[in-house]
Amino acid sequence: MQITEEIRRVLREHARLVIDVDDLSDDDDLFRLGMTSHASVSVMLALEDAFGVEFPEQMLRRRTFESIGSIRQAISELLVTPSDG
Amino acid sequence: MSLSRPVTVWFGPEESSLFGALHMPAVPTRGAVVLCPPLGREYAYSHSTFVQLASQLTQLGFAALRFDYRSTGDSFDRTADRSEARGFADDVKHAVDFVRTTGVAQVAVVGMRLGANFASVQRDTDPVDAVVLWDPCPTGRSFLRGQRALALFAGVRVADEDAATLDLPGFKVSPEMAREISGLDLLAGEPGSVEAGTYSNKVLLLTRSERVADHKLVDRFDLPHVVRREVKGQPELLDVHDDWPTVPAEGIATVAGWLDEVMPRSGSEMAVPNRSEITVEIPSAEPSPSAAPGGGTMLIRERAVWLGPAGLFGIETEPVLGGFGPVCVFVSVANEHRIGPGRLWVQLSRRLAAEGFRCVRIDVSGFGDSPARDGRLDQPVHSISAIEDVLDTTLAVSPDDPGNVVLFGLCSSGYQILEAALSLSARGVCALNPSVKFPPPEMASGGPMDDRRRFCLPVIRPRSAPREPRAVIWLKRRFPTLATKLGRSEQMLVWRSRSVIGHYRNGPGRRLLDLAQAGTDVLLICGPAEMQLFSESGLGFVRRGYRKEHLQVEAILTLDHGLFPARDREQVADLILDHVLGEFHRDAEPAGPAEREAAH
Repeated sequence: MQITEEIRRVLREHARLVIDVDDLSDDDDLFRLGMTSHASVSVMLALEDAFGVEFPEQMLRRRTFESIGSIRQAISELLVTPSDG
Repeated sequence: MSLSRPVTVWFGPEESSLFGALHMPAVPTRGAVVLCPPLGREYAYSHSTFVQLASQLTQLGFAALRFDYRSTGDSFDRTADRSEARGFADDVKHAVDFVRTTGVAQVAVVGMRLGANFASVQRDTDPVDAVVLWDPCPTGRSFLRGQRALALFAGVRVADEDAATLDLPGFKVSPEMAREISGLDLLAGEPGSVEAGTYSNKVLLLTRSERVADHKLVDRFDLPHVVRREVKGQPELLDVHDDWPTVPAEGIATVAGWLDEVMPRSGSEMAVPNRSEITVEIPSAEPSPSAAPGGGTMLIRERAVWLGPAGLFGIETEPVLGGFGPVCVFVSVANEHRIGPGRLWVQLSRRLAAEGFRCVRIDVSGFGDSPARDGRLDQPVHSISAIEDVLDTTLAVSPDDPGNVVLFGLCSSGYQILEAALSLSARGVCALNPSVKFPPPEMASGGPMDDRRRFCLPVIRPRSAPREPRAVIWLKRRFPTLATKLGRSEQMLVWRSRSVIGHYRNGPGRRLLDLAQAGTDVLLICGPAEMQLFSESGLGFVRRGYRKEHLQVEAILTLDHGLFPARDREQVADLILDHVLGEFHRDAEPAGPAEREAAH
C-alpha cells in the first residue's frame, strides 16, 4: 500500500497527466492519459530517488511505466532483488 | 530581428582546437558573454536558441561567444592519448580565457542544462563577473540516465551498455566523458551552502516552472547573491522527439535582460585575434605525395565561408596542399545544423579531406548560422529555397563546373540533394533516408506543386491509420516477440508485392533510375520505411548491396531514420567512404561538364 501511495505521489509531481492521479486505477494506461516520454523519464528518476533503487536497462521500456500496476511490480522486484549496479 | 554575422575563431589547445562564433556589437563592448551549450540531442535542439540569444546580446552592447566543446559540433576531437578528468569544464575555461585575450573588462557565462553544470565548475578557476544557470541538470548522472532511458522508451536501438562507451541518441559518450559528467552534482552539500563568490557574486538560476524536482536546486541556491526565476518554454525547446524545437523567446529575453541589468555599461574596444582558419594533421588511409612528412597523415585546413547570394554559412575543409576530384557538399539536416546526424558530416569532411577531397558543410537558409532568404527567422523545412541553397552552394564552391560535386544529405536534405543533383547533372549524390513524402509548403494554400519537385510524393491531407482488430491487439500484447517477427514478414511481403507493381509507376524510384542512367553516381542508403517509397515508385525490390552501373542501393532493415544509434552512423560512414573513395579517388578519370550534360 505504501509503495502505491509513493508511486501516486511521484506521478502527481512528475507525470503531468490530464486527469487527477487519485482517480487512476492500477491498470490505467498512463501514456494514453498524457504522460509523454520525457515525463516518464522524470517519473523514472523520481522513483529511483524515492525508493533508493536503480532500474536496470532491461526495465527501461515503456511498458514498465505504462500503469501504476506495472510500476509497482517493477519496484517490488527491485526491492526484493537489489541491483548490482 | 536580423541575425548578426559572427566572426569565427578557433582557440584552445592547438592539437584539438575549439570552434567558436563570436558575435560582436556595433558599439564599444561592455563585456563578453560566453555561451555554454547543452550536450547530445539537447545541443542540436538549442542551437538556434543560442544563435538568437547571441544576436540579442550584441544589441545590448555585449560580445557573445558561442562555442562547441571538443569532440562536439565543429570543434576538433579530444586527443586520445590524454585522459582528461574535466575536459568539458576546461573547455569553458578555454572559452573564457579566449574572450579575455580580446581585452574585454567584464566576462559573464551563460550555460544551459549540462552547459550550466560545466559553467558552474568555474569555482576552481577565476570567478567571472556574472553566471546564468539556465535549467541546469541537478546531477550529471541523472542526465545520462535520462537520455539513455529516452532512447530506450522511444525504441531507438542504441548499443547495449558496456564499459567502453555510452551510446546516447546522436552522441557517443567516451568513458572519460561519462566519468566527468557523472561527477557533476549541483545538489552536493547542505542547502544554501554555495558561498558568495564561488561562482560569481551575481548568479541567475533559471528553473522550469512546471518541474517540481527543481525545489532541491532552489534550496541549494537559496542565497542573497542568487536571483532565481522560473522560465517557460524549456519543454517546447528540449522535450521534443519527432517534433520541432521552439525557440524560447521568453527565456532569451530573461537572460539578456538580467545581464543588461547587472553588467556595467561602460564600453571598451575589443581586439579579436585572427584565428579564422586552422590547420591540423589528420591520419590518412594511405601515404600520398601531399601527405605530411612521415606519411600516413595529411595536413588539412578548415575555415568558415559565407556562400552565394543568400550568404549561406558553411565550413570548408580541404587538404593544405590542394585537393582533387569533385567537391563534397554536406547539407544540414532538419534538426541538426551543418554538423549532420551525430556529427557525421564533420567526421566525413575531415576524413575525406585527409584523402585529398575538398569538402564544404553548409547550413541551408533559415537554419544553423545561415540567414533566411526572406528575412524570417525560421523557414519551412521542405521549402523550395533549400533546393536553391544547394544549387547556389555548388555554384559558389565550383564556379567553373557546378556539377563537379558529390552531394550528401539525410532526411529532408537527402531529398533536397536528389532534386539538386538532377538539375545540376552532379557527379555524385549520397542520399541517406531521403524524405520524399511530405506536404510541400507551396501547396498549403491550395497552390500547385512547384515544377522543380520531381522526387516528391506530395501528401495532400494526413490519413489516420486504420484501427487494428481487437484480436490483433490482444495477440501483439500477449506474444510481442512473435508479433514483431510476423509483422516484419508481413512488411517484407507487402513491400515485395507493391514493389513489383510499383516498378512500372513514375515517382522517386523512377527518377532515381533516371538520375543514375544519366551518369550521376548515386548511393542510396535507406531503412525499410524509406526504401519502400522508392521500391513502390519505379525502383522495384532491391536487395542490400544492389549495384548497377551508376546506382548503389543499401537497404538496411534496422537503420534508424535519424541515425541516432552510433552503430548506424558508423555503418553508414563506412559505406560512404568505401563508395566515394572507390568512385572518385584520384585514379578515377572525371567526366567533363560537357560529357555529363550530354548524358543528362
